[in-house]
Amino acid sequence: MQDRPDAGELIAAVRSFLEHEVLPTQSDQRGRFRTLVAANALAIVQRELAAGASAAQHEGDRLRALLGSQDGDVRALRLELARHIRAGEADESPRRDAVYAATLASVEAKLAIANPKLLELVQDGG
Amino acid sequence: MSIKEALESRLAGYGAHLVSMRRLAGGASQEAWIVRVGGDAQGERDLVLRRDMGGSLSSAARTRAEEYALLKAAYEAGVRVPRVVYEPMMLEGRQAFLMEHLAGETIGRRLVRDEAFARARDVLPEQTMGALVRIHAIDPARLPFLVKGQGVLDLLAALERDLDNCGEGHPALELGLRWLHLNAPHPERTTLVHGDFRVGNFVVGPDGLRGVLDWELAHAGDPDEDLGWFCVRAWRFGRNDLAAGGITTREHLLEAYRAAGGHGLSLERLRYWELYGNVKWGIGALSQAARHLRGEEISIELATLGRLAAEMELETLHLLEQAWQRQYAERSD
Repeated sequence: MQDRPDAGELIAAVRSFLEHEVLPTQSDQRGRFRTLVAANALAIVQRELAAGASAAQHEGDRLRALLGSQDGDVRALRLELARHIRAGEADESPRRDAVYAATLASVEAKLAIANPKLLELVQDGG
Repeated sequence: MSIKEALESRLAGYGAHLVSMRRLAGGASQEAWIVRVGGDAQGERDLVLRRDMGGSLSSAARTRAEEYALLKAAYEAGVRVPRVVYEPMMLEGRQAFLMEHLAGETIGRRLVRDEAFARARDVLPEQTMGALVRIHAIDPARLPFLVKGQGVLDLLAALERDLDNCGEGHPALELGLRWLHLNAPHPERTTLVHGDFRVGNFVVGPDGLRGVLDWELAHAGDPDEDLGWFCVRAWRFGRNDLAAGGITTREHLLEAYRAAGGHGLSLERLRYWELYGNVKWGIGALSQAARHLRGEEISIELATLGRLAAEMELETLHLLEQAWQRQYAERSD
């Protein structure tokens, strides 16, 4: 086990450095934009450290149930579902609706980490 | 030799010289610079230099020399665009060209929100659709590099290839692609398609449209694609109450296109191409991130696009649900 700061605390320190020390030194718009993009990437990592493992586990459970698989990691399960849809095996209800529901849950779980503000806005009907 | 020295040597050939240059933000597949040029008959002025970067948004992107030809054809057709200057050139082994620098705002967020552009927003639907009708009237045969006869199914196959090259499964985008396959419209016409015609690629002043930029995704195809792309959620910059670019409604956009002399297209057709646009931008974002991940171009901007794709996935799912509901309602009638 590592000493503190832990991974999340290190990320927070780098993010603060970018936002408070690097950003004010950027004189051109390209530099400012890239600094903000980098800080936002670290904010994504912070949320993923907190919620990523459990989101992946839930997605794996949902996809295994949907596809009737015993095993397979989320990456392999997503590929299998993608092939299934492209082959036209989810064109008709109720299969289509089950595939849609599982897919929507996966996308919402990704956005909860990548852009939670947008997810909230959309869920409020915006 | 640096890019600066290479440009100085090209400019010398036109009796002009370089005063200064600075790089602009953005541009995932090409770089842009503001270049101050003097010495020739036009006197000292700012120009924009656009140069290839070796990568592209999709497998079908235009080179700078092709973009030069497109801008020239558009200018001659009466479309407001920056005028190209001199001839296309090679700089450090990559294609580049110079064009007029149009003063004005391009940042979508400001254009859809700021009070300073309220009057511009009133006239932009008519002005942009007027420009689009002229673009769609340009004979694609004048631009021999455009791939001929790209039907909807060809476009979908190209998107599937791009998605497969990313190496990950994306069920939401697959659901979108599948619906687009099953509901493919029968195009009645093939025209020049701008390919990236949206708020964010227009130079706008308080008086409205000053120029249409970013021709790198131009191709021959169904003109309705350009209208659908205009309505993609990402180009509303937060103004989701106004589906057409954050400036007007879908219905008014279609009216303005028709009033400018364009063919009449149904709301249903528009919505088809809007869904296509969301899927295309989702796959485009993944493709950009894949270039970073493969080490072809290391960039924080490209890397983070991989996480942006989920936004287009969510919108695709919402549009799909609406399309299914409309189809269900039609069958029940």
